[in-house]
Amino acid sequence: MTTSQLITCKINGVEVEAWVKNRSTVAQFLREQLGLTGTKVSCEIQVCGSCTVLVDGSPISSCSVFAYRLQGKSVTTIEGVAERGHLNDVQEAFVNNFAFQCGFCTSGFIMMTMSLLGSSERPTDEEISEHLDGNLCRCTGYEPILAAAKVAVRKRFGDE
Amino acid sequence: MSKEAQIRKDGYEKVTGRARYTGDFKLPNMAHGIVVRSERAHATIDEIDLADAKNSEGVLAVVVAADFGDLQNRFGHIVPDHFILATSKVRYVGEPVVVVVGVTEEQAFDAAQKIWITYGDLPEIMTVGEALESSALIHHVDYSANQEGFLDAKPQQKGNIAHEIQLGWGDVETALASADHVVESTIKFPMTYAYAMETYVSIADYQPNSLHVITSGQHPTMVREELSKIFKLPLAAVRVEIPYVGGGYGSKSYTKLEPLAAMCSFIVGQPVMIKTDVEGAISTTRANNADIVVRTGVTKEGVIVARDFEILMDSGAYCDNSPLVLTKCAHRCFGPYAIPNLRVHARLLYTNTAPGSSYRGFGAPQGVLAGELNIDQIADAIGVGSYDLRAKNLLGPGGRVLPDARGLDADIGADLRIVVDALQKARKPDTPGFKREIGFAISASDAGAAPISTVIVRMHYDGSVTLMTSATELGQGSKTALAQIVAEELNLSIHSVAVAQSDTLNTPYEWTTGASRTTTIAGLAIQRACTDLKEKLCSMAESISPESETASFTKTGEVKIGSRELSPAAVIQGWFGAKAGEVVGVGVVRKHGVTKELPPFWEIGVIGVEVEINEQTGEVILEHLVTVGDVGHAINHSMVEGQDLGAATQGLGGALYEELVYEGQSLLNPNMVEYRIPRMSDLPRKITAVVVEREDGVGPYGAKGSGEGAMNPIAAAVATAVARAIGVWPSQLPLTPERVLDLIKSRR
Amino acid sequence: MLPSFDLRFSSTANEACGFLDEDWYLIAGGTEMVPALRIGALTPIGLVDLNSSAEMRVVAKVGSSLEIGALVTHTEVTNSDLVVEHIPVMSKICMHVGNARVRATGTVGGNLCFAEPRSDLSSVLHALGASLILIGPDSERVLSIPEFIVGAFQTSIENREVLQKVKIPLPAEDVNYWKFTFGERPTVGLAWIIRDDEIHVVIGAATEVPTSHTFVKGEKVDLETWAEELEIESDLAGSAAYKRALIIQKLREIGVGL
Repeated sequence: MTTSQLITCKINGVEVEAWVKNRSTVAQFLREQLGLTGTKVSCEIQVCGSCTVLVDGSPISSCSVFAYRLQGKSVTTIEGVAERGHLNDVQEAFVNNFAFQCGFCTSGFIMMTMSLLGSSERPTDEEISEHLDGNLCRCTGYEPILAAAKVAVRKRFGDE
Repeated sequence: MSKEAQIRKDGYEKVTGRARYTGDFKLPNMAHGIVVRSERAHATIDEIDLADAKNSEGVLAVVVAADFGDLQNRFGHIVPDHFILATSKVRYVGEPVVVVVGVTEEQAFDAAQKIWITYGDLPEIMTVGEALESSALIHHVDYSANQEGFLDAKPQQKGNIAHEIQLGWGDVETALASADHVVESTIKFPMTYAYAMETYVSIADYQPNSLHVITSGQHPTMVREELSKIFKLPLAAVRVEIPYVGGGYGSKSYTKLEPLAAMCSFIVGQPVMIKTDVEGAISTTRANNADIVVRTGVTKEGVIVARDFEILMDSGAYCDNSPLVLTKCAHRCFGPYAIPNLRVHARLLYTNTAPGSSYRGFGAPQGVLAGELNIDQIADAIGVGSYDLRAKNLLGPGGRVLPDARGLDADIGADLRIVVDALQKARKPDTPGFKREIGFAISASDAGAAPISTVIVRMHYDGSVTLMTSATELGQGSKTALAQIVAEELNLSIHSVAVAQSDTLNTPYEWTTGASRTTTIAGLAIQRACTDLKEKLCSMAESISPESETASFTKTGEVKIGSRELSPAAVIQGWFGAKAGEVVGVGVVRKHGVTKELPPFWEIGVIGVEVEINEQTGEVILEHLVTVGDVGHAINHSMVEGQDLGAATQGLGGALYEELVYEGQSLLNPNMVEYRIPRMSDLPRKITAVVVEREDGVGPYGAKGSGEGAMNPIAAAVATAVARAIGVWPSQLPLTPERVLDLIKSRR
Repeated sequence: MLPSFDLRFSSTANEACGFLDEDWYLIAGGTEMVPALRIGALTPIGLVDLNSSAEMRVVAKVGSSLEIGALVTHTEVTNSDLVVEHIPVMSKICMHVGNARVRATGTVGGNLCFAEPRSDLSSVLHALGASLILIGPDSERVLSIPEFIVGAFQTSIENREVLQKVKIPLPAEDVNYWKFTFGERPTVGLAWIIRDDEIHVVIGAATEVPTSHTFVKGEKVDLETWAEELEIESDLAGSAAYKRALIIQKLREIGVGL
């Protein structure tokens, strides 16, 4: 009978070795065991995206994936985005475009946008909004978030 | 004020994940409470089997109401009917009955699974209709008796009626009888859930004679009041601290989870955190649904002679602030029109559903839906254009919406003209299988709540400033807007203005953060605090001046004394005789002077939409959304636009997608898969956001409030557009695809 | 909060069979398992985690079939060159399942075994004539979609059986797919193939199980009466009548019953 697993993984580039309960989610591991509280938990049913983190570059709903699955994987959370405190293009775009209000969905949207930028092909406007349609925001009405994502795409891929 | 876009002060924190919300805090030795909730809508609690739970690993206490001793087990600012934990009976599915407090959340959760509650069923009352007819009572004790009332609400419970209002003037029956046309509309506004993405969470740390609470709330001083009453502590001994909040929208008004967390901490003697999930959040509160019938009599030219409203609002099992929501609904339903004869009869009913309480708009979305839809039905019935009909009856600036209230501080007709022009200019033709139509609606809300605010501005010896205010940053941008006012008044860079977090230990009294009042009320207080600060600096400069000279504060932020100009830093350091010290300016707002007349301002809402209806599926898409933010003066333009789009989007939810549905005793959809809120793909194809600044408010630089205006009329605008497109008037929102298809079919 | 459970790891279907004692379930991506655990719909003693199985994560052309391992995620199906080349409709529908996170995590096998009626994959696989390979402790079974999905959240999988892969015969028929979605899950889904003399349809999402029918081209059909036979429940996305109306409209649009 096992109740915990010993995992080794990379969190924001740093190697971490930890015991995680079988029942622990990635979100709980990050927030409660590692103190990385930038990832938020909201709907707990994979719809809102507040809990989005990247695992080997792919976005996951960290509220609904067990922590033991991180064995051997590389995780990027919101805390790993800025470099030595310098905002990256996505974060800058969010700040400059007022793409947040209460901020609770913001980490998730930024991580989702980053997963979009991870591919080598420039996403079309339709692909951007379809990708981000998987996250909820209750404050902004979405328009400034979409605008910020498009700015980040332009920054990364150049003007069309 | 500078027109340059001012980015938000909380931007860096929020895009890096460093902004801290209540759930991110971990107090030393903090325990976790898991709430066990009722599975019945209306039942006696016959037995609670706690033994296995108590013996579970890591359990510190299994708390029931009986453990509160002689402390009051109820709270509620308007009517103290709200049981912290159910005592002899439960009144809704989801009502907290037991809290298991454990060392870890897992331990508390596992123990909670071992609790068995035996109920004795009572007749359940699930709708306002049933509440009116049933002889079964949800509350046997009248908790409204001997209460002082609160703002405009002084409820008197009668059976299942939690509150009842009659308001109006003139002789409606006679006027209607002699009107050329009388048009009646019946409309149901759905039960919705605010879905603040950060669900309720509170941490309480009770120690003898001191209670510290960290909570996701809107009104720290109201929570402090409530806790002080419950625990019989002086206000000074109760500290309510509010870090960043992941959405409030009125659903975190007043007091919610805090008494429960505090009770648990009181019992176990260590800090306790209680979180909720979405289902738990809905069980804490949801927004009020309402059934409204309106009759309006007009002359054949379309001049209103009378309006008559019958409102039935659902309060759920406990009334929270619903009595005030009812009152405001009654004030806001009939619109800013010249109405010679008015009757509004509004009743608030208890039902065995989750407690209802305020949501953005505070009764206006419900009332305005009815009132404005009816106006458009009249326009149709008598063959007068919707704009023309409104123009004929709209009150102009200074007009009296309510007889004893401040005159209208807005030109709604001009706002409406902007919306209609924008809609008509961009109109698109129908395409095969799709019908397009425009709709618009207006609202005027007696907003601002109470004008009571104290603000402190602390200037440090380098001239930089810390602003202390209990106006709470909920995401609306108050931190930034208020800092901008300080920066403007003292001619500082905004980077030299720090804003303290809302914390009753440190920040001075603010009535509430809601009713769109912050810019106006806290803003005025800030201006007064800055004036006080400037006067003090001048006094200080005079007292350290070798000559007897008078000092004045210049527009460039210096202290001019004689022929010299000193920086405030130099004045402070000179006065203290060292690189030390600080100067404090205090500003106070009360019901006096410019804020003597209530409401402090009228919050205006003017919305226009062009909808596109898929005639095969009934889907409704917004081709065009026009919002007008008639705010007097925009401290931060982008933030005003953000408020308008955000509010309009939330309102769109109630118009097209959102509805909490009860089947039998329980909710069918207490989760975000089955409860559908607007998503990015629902964005209107075109958005025209206009900010109008006529400097007609009493707030700073002529400002009024912003934040709820755009939510209030959007449901009516959408419903009208859909009705016009189809030719059938709806009687129920949200206009889901099926309901729209049914409307289409009913016409054929 | 999620309940506690025991955990075993396996990297092959055969091995996993042996681990599936009573009240033990398989877990792949977990996109349906975790929510089920959270609401207490399933209360396993333990989970058998198959995610390390490389063999079950492969898309391969084998003979005249395209084989998709049960652990292939929706995103992997979407991006697979083989899928795009041979069965482009599958790439398209997997691109629109849930959201990008669910697609990156959720698997074909998990989707089929959970048998949530409001889904797209099973309808399209039904239309493609897919077979499912089930590995048991001593046996191997091959089932069609209608043989496998027998009710809402009900499959005919037996104790200790593991769904190993899905086989789609090539060349794949030209399957079209349409769905109508109001909330998070599809309300109505329709897969169809226009053949020389007939229109073959599979209706899903609204129905308890994907339901197929072959209409003869040019033959008049009373679609209203025909649709009454479909097992459709009313729910928050619409009444059964509404869903039937959507289905009938789409059928007419693709040429059925004219």
